[in-house]
Amino acid sequence: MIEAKNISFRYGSRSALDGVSLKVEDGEFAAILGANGAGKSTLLKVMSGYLKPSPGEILINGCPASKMSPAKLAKERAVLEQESLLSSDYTVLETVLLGRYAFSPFAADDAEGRTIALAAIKSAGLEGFEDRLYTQLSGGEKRRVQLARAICQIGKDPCKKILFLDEPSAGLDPAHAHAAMAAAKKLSQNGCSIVAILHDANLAAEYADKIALLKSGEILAFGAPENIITAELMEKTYSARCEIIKNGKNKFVHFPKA
Amino acid sequence: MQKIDARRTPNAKTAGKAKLYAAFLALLFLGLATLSLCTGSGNVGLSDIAAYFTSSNSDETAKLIIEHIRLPRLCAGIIAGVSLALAGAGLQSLFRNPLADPSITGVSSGASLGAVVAISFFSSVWALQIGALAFGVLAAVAVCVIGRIDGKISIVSTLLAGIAVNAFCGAIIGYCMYTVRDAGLKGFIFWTLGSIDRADWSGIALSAAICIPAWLVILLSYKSLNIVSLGRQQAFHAGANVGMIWIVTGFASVAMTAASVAICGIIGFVGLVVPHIIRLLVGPDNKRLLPLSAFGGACLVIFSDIVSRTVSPTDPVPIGVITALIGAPFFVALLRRKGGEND
Repeated sequence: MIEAKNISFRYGSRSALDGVSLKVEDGEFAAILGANGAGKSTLLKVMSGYLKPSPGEILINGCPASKMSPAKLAKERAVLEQESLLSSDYTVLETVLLGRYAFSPFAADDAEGRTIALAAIKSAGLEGFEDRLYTQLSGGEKRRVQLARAICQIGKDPCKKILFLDEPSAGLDPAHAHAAMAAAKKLSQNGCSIVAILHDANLAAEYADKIALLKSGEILAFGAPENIITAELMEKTYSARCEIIKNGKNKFVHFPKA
Repeated sequence: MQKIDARRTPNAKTAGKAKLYAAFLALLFLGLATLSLCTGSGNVGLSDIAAYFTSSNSDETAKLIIEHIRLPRLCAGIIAGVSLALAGAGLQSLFRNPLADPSITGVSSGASLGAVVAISFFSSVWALQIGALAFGVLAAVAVCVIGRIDGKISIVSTLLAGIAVNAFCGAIIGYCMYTVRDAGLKGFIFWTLGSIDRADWSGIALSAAICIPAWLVILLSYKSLNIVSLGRQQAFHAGANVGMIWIVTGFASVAMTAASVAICGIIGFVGLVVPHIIRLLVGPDNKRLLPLSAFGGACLVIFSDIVSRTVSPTDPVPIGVITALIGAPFFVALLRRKGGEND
């Protein structure tokens, strides 16, 4: 369970987050939607413990994140960042195994760690890629390797863990985007809290249990998809005209040309 | 459902290859060490060396030569080679830049300047060693202070600060060389081009006392050096205390480089080329890279010393000249071959 209590954050004089409160329960999949520059990535960095809120507090399973060491945090939550700076010639397996660092920083990876890494590789749809060099993969493949690394960090028992995903579907084709979301959904069904920044409102509606709308560093609305995915709230969030298209039981968000 | 077998993982090929390279380098190291003890003026052969190490009766002259000339020389070569290669590999991981090497932190030129200043004012060996160490660490601290932006070490600023500090120290050394009389010039050349001619047991003991713990710190931090390759933010998310990793492994690298410069002067190229060659052979995982680089560094310095004494037995060529002459073409050849494979 993760809870953000009235958090604010400023980059110099510019306010990025202003009094945001958000609670994601165990096993809940929360999506965060918002326009560019709304503060989504900052919110994720603050909630994951990388940036310190001022004021405000982040509670991870009831414990203040500010009082947790990087290693302790890493055992509770994993993060898929928007971009990766990794440029070394690691193989896919070696890259995914970096996710086990917090569990044994000074000893060689044991058989259990490798089993977890191989399972993570499989869940990211990368079977057969283990020996490939990370630097020689396509952008989408690299993204899936990073997802596998984060899943590997979550480990064998995802219950009460938290997985942060910053645009997990970015750079992925529709099939792989669905596969990545399904992998996250499976973790949430096993008790893991998921906090995912998404740009595709339809993907959010399909997988998330709750959706938060962020605008100018403030939460506009937070609730179940059926209450959040409305033309009015979408228009407010993105400052763009929006239509909700109904097809039988399904609803689709569409932003027509201005 | 098919069970995942953790034993049948890939990388077994790379790990097997690494073991082969390790065995090769260990044998090469032993061969070169023996050859180094046999090389030089004075008639010392394999039988004398065997007799010396087994404490059996041996020729007194040979014993003296081995104990006071050849063995200190070999130990200095090992200390310098291992230190420079490990510091290079460590710094390349920390900076996430394959072009980082010990000299980029300013420590080599700082230590060299410290030695030159110490020679100018004092005659004791200890003053010289302490001067080299103090200035080496001071230069590295200066680079870190200049390279800090908003309280965090910026990689680009630090690399640029290293260039500035190197240029500054180099200019002062150059001025000292320009103003000093011919007899003193030779001593200054020692500090700028490196040599293991002057190694003695007291200097080696002091350097070893600093280097061996620093080697262990770097070797045991292999996973931390791997994790920083993800970048500061991702490494933090993976559970790394990035600031602490920088301080501990950065200080160990600086200390071992300064201690090596204190006995051997600046031996260029080892810290850059050895980890680079090893990385091309076994990949970037520091678990394999660090120990193999340590062996590789020792082999390169010992081999260069043998060449330097064989080419000119009476007045050995500075070892830094040889390491660069051997290392550079080998490095370019490997780089081109690997580059071709990747393309």
